[in-house]
Amino acid sequence: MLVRVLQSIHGHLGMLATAALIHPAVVLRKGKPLGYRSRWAVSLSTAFTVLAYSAGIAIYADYRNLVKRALFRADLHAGLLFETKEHLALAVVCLALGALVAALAAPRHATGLRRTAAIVYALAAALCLLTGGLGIYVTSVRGFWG
Amino acid sequence: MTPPTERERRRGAIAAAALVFAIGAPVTYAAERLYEYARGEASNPMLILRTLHTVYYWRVAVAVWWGLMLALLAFLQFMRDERDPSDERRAQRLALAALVLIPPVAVAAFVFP
Repeated sequence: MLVRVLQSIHGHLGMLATAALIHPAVVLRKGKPLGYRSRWAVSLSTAFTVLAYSAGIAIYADYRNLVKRALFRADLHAGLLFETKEHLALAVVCLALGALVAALAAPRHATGLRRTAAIVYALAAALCLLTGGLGIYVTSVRGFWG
Repeated sequence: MTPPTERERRRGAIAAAALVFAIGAPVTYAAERLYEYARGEASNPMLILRTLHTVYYWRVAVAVWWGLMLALLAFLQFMRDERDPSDERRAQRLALAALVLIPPVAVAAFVFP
């Protein structure tokens, strides 16, 4: 039961992270120094992403024990797409965390670094959208609910 | 324009090093996966009944560790460099590196799942 709840939380947080990651890319695109609210917004966007990934990691062992073989039996292609999803998820988290530190640490005059952080956030958002899409597709084939 | 203070230099170096981590860790992860394919370790999951350890956790740990090491080396290099770590050209190079390296990582995730 708990693992099903965690799967739901993971899915919802993942989609929320997809939307949330676009915001820092927009806020940082001109390279202006971040204000108090923008710092919170950028940090929370990244926190959602890390939470979604953490929920995925929390259920990963159960996925391997309860779902993986059944998923591959049901649809080999969907099983391989899940593998792709887990590779992309790590890239999303690393991109978001690196961009967050860059955005928060960059000194006032470092417009170039903030613009680069915006690009990295945009890449993270694009990969997160892919990851979320793959997650929805794979779950529709086989999830903890069967 | 006044030269940056020591604190600004350090913050600029941290920011640039964080971007190195953001690019370096996924690229390392993709390289690990390709290495597994090259060695023939990427087996068919349907043939595995039980494993002693989860490979994914190890791959993630190694990629993050390498990402952090690359970031540390970059930080030390940026602090040693006489140029401002927040230099516009350096930021542009990092942006270019992200745009050139990350899309192939995503493609590799599909081609070598």
